[in-house]
Amino acid sequence: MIEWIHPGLLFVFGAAPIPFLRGRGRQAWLIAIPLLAIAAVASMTPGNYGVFDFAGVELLIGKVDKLSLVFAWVFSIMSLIGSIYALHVKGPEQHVAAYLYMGSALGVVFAGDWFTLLVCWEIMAFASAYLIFVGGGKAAIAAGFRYLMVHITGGVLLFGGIVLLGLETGSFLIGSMAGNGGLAFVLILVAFMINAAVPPLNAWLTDAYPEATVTGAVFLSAFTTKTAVYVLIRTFPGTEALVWLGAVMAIYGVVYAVLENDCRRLLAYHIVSQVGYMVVGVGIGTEMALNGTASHAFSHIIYKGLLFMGAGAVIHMTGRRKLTELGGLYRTMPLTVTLYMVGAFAISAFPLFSGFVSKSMVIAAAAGDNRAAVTLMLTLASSGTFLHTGLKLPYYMFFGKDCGLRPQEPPRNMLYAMGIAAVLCIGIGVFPGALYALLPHPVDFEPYTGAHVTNSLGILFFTLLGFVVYLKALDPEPTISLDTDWFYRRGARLFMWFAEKPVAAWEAAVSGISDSVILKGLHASARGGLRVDVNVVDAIVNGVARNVLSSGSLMRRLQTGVVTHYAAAMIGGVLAAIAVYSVAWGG
Amino acid sequence: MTDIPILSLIVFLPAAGAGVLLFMRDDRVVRWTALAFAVVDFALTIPLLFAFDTTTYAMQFTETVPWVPALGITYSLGVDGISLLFIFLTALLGWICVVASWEAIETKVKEFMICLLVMQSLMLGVFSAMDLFLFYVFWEAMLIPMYLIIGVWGGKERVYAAFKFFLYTLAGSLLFLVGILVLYFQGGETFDIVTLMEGDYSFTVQAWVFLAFLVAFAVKVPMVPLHTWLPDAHVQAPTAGSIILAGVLLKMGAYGFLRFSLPMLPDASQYFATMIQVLSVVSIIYGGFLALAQEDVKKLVAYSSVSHMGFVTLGLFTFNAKGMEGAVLQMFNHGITTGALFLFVGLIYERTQTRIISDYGGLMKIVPVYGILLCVFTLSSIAVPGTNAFVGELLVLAGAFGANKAIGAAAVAGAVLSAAYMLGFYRQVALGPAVAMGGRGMWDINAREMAGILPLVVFVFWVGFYPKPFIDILHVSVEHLLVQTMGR
Amino acid sequence: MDMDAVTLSIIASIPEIIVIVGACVLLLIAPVKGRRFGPLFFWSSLATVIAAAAATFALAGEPRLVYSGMFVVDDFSVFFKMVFYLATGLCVLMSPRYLEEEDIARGEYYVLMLFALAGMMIMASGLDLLSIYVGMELQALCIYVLTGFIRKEKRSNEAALKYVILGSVSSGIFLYGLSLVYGITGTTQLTDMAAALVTGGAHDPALVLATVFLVTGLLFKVGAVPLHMWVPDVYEGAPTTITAFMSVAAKAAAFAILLRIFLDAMAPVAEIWVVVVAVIAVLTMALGSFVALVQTNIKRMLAYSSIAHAGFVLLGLVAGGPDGVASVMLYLLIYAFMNLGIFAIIIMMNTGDVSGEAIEDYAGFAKSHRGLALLMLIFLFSLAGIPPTAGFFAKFYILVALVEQGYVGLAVIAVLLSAVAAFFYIRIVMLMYMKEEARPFDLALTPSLRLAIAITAAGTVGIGLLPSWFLDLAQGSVFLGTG
Repeated sequence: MIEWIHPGLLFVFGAAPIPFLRGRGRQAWLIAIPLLAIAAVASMTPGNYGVFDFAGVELLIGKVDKLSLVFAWVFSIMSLIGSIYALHVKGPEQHVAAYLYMGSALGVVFAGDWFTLLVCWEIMAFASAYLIFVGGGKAAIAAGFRYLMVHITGGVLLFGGIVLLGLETGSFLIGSMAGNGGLAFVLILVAFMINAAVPPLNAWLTDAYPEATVTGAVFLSAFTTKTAVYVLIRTFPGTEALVWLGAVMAIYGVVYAVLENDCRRLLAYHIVSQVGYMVVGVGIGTEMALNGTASHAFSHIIYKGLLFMGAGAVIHMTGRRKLTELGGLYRTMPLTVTLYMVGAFAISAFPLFSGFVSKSMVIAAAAGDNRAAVTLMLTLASSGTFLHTGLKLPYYMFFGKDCGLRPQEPPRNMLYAMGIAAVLCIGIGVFPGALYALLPHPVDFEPYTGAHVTNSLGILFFTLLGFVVYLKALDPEPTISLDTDWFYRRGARLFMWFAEKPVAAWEAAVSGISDSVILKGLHASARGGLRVDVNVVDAIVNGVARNVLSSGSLMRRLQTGVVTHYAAAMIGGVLAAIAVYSVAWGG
Repeated sequence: MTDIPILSLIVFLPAAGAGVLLFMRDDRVVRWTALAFAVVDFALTIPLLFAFDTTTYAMQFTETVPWVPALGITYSLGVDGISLLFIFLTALLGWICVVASWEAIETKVKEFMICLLVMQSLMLGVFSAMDLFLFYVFWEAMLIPMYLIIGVWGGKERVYAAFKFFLYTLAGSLLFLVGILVLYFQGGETFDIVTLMEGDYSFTVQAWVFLAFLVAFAVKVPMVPLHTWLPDAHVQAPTAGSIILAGVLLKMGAYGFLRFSLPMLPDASQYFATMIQVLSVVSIIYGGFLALAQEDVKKLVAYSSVSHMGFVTLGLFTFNAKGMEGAVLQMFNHGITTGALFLFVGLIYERTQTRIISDYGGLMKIVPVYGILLCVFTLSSIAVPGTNAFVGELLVLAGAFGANKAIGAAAVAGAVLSAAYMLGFYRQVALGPAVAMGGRGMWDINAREMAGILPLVVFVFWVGFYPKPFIDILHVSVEHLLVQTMGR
Repeated sequence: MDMDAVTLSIIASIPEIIVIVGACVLLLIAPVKGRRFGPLFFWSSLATVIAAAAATFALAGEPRLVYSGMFVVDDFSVFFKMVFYLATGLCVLMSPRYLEEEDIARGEYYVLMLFALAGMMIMASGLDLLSIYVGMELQALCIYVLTGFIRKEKRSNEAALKYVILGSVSSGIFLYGLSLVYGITGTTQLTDMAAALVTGGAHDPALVLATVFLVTGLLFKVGAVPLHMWVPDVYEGAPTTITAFMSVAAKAAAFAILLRIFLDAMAPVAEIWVVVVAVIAVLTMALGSFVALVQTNIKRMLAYSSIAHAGFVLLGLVAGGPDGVASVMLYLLIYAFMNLGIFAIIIMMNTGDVSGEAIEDYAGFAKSHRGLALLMLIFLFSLAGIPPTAGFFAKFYILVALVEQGYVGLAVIAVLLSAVAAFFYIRIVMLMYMKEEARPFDLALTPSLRLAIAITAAGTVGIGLLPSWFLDLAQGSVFLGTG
């Protein structure tokens, strides 16, 4: 134990004193812990640490190998960035929740056995749910509740799966489950898919994240889905189904981003899309693909965090979330704009930005695995990504029509945090070697080949062109003015119709399903059950009692009080007895 | 082991306290005396825990005095790992009950405390009796004080509830009595439990006796469809009454199963195992559903107990060490958690005079400490990892999957339900905007209440994070039980 | 028979003689002195009972068969006599205040009670159908009169009349059965009868007829279905003290001879009567418990409860064997304690204007009189058969006997019905503890009544906690002949 410190525990125990610290002291503490965690991760050497025996099951809380190290690195870095970003937050409980959240996420990363995983998994769910609850307002609480329900369901499925698995294999240590197609396999896969927000199990994500606090959303965007990706890599490499699911995800997220007007929900949809890439990578399961997945997760966490921070900064300063209510902020928030754009380029996989070096790896892996369709879908998705996060969102938020607001730059700690993230985005993009060195498998991939650069740039510029052309059409509240050519108009209309009507309906159904159908159904049937209980089961009991009583009062009437009746009864009794015997004994 | 008859001391100290109370006038004095006796009784159980030898399944601290030699009835007490745990639990809840009714009970305080202490003695007696007749005497005598506790200090419908509780359980346990007598003659005219366990009975006898026992225990547990006395009793009973009911009385049904049905009637137990498992799962899910539909907090917790006790019986009848240990541990946990939940309901009722869930709201903002502690027990009731119930349910489900996958899967579904109703409840009560609640106004947990709550919190996390000591106490006895059940 | 035998017989029957002489003396002074000397009657009758008890105790030991085999003093009879003394003594203790309240304080009351006692004692000791019959009638006649003792009360007279008529019907039936038996076996002496019946075949229709008649005649006394009809009316009509006396002493006496005749004399032909008795027992329990549920007058309710109890005791008869007999005896002893306890409290409630017979009158009793309410509670739970009270052990032992003989089915029925019966006992508890008092209670509480309550309570709790000694006593007193 001594030669190895579990960074997750650092956070968990570090959370304890937070409520008692004040002002600068607390801020120092908030930064110190993540730094310690990074140090701890840096000092790690692969191996197994911290073996316990708990209720007869062997627990391994510290399984360190290259894969877990990648995620440990990015998680601890992100925790630092996030903490800095959240420094100004007054309420201690948010920090505590965030710390528990990060701690448990790291716990998942190092978990060597299923129970540790499960415990951390559940703590994550509750801690993160709190970040949504404190968002305040009815919407936030409702969303947080749905979020929690979904994750508990996931947790229980996982639990069932784990127990089954343990019974099948006899061991509770985590290992690859590829190939095992049993019930356990399915249960666990579904549980992971829920956290990875694989459609149609994605409703919770886009539903909850926008409701979280400005700072909370940053943490949320980083950890939950990525832990899911991590465990998928660990346990389900090469599961064919994931390839297609992932591909669909990638497109799906992008398509829905079209409809979005809430900036953070738009970003949330892009999480879905981005995670799609990683899922594809897991599904393909070749070394390169897994590398791609890991590296993409790494860079994704950072640039998505950056984007959320940017959007969050705007919300923090203006208090508005709707793109239609924003615009022209570049005048007063140049720094924010620049930093945001870095993230935007990164996610859109511009060369020299982190997204490029990782995403292209996945796509290349797909191509290398001769999956033309998948490759195409992913490519399309990436152009869509650029379209929305890289062009649409900043256009409407920072440029475009002037909304009249003149907000100042956000607090300094926010800018610092974004700065760090931005630096990383570019750094990774320029020197991919550092990242590649971390990856679990040896890398023989050179992102900056002519082919890659040109065709990705090509895509991006075509997208840019399309954006300029369809600008009006993509308007969150489409107002088609007459002077634009009818052809474009028609095309735009078609696209928007397709995007709005059927797709929107489906999305509504999906996101509604957890709430409307399941919960309502549950309550309805519950009330039914209660009726049965009261009117049938209990009624039987009381009925018996009532009948006994009534039969009592019935027999009471026999007591006429007339002596001759009594005598008659006696004689009758005697005769009856005699009769019985004369029959029974036959005389 | 020890020269002083420590078990008798523990069992009869509260009754002695009740005797002392008879001669007291002032309510304050009465309260303090009752508390003193309960606490001392609890203190006495602690040396018991340390002196207990966890390496043997044999009965310990045994005392035997002939009582009715003509019928082979003896007054004999003793504990093994299983009963020890419940003696401890009972003694713990005992003084918590006194604390819980400190202000809640305003009329006939003396009588109430007497009933409480007598009840305490009888419950401890049930768990330590090593003679079937003695056991039955304790078991049946409990009806009297409980009947009074519910009927005199209960809510509006208290009389109805009291009658229902009394007759329901009486009818059940009278069949139990006949079953006992059959065993008595089959097992060589002795009531000694250990001897009876060694007896070997024909399958027909076992089957009939098992069914007779089943009725008695299924009523106490309670197992669907014999559960309907529970909601009424729970809702009408005063807080302390509910705590006793949920914390200890329900355990006695399960205790009966594992003390008599399993070891004495192994063949029948295995023959009926599937039936019991199904009934348990039905209880789990059915109880969960009904809990989901409740507007009254107490009813919600009451039905949740039906659901949770389903896990216990399920675990018992999986016939593997994991399941059984889980079941016993789960009994302990349920005692802690549900007892605490009833305590909390009682506390808030003292303040607001309402139990309708929808009347509450935003307690987190009004009384934060209460809100946070309630959260702890809510999570424990959902069996979130890190809380006591998780360990129990984990072992039970593991056992259930081992016995029958379908059953196990169904039980897991039940676990989701518990999350649904408990979270729904907590969301309405604690989160959201603060609501003005009538009654006597709000105040947060005060020192007295805290004194009652803290130990429960401790156990929630202790069992949750480090169950080893508890499992150690159980382990050998459960293993032995398993041998008795499957060995033949 | 020679002098020796005569002296022996006289010695053996000293207790009876004491009681009868005492009764006669009181009878002589009764008209002379009249009511002013109430205490005198009270004390002297009490003294008589105690003296008789002492004598009986002195006689206990090896069985003495006297009066040429018509009369026996064995442990069995001694046990029952002790029960009679107990019941009579307690009833005497309860009487004085009640008699004044009802304005019937007259010497004859005690005289008749003593004569009735004598009759019962003869029943218990009788070893010949004739002596048994004589004792039975003596006891019956006295109780007829006592039932109608409240002359100005219409209920009382009516009850007495009913009792007389129905009683004589049953006596007639019994006599007829008796003569039949004599015709078949040529003897009325029980032991000879048994011997004769062993040889004779069971399928003799005359024998069946005889059995049925004897059963009927005797079950009338214990008030078994369908011969129970008199019980509620008589119990309600009679002075409460006499109701208590009947419900305990008279019933015990009837069971004494039931046991003697059926488990001793007619044991060989058990196959004939066991079935019918079993059926009757179940019916009795059922009817008693069910009808008691809906009673509003506590005496009437107790009448039905006593019917139910009689049914339960009959099960002991069905079980037979030493345990069967012992269980019946123990049950009667315990029943004496708990039932008399209840009646003592009812009597205490009776203060001239308020009869205290309506069950609702007990509402809120616990509020003003904690101690008495607690005792009442004990008696009620004991009657309901809830441990740790004596009533539970009584029921328990009968169940033991039943299961021992393999009558598990009967046992199950019995317990279920006693669960039903529990309802109307705890209903009173509910009234006492869970309702507000309707009126202030003023109680006719005299020292003697207190004593009575104390004794009964002590017995009810004591036997419940330490049944061993009494159990051994009962088992030791089982008469010979039942193997």
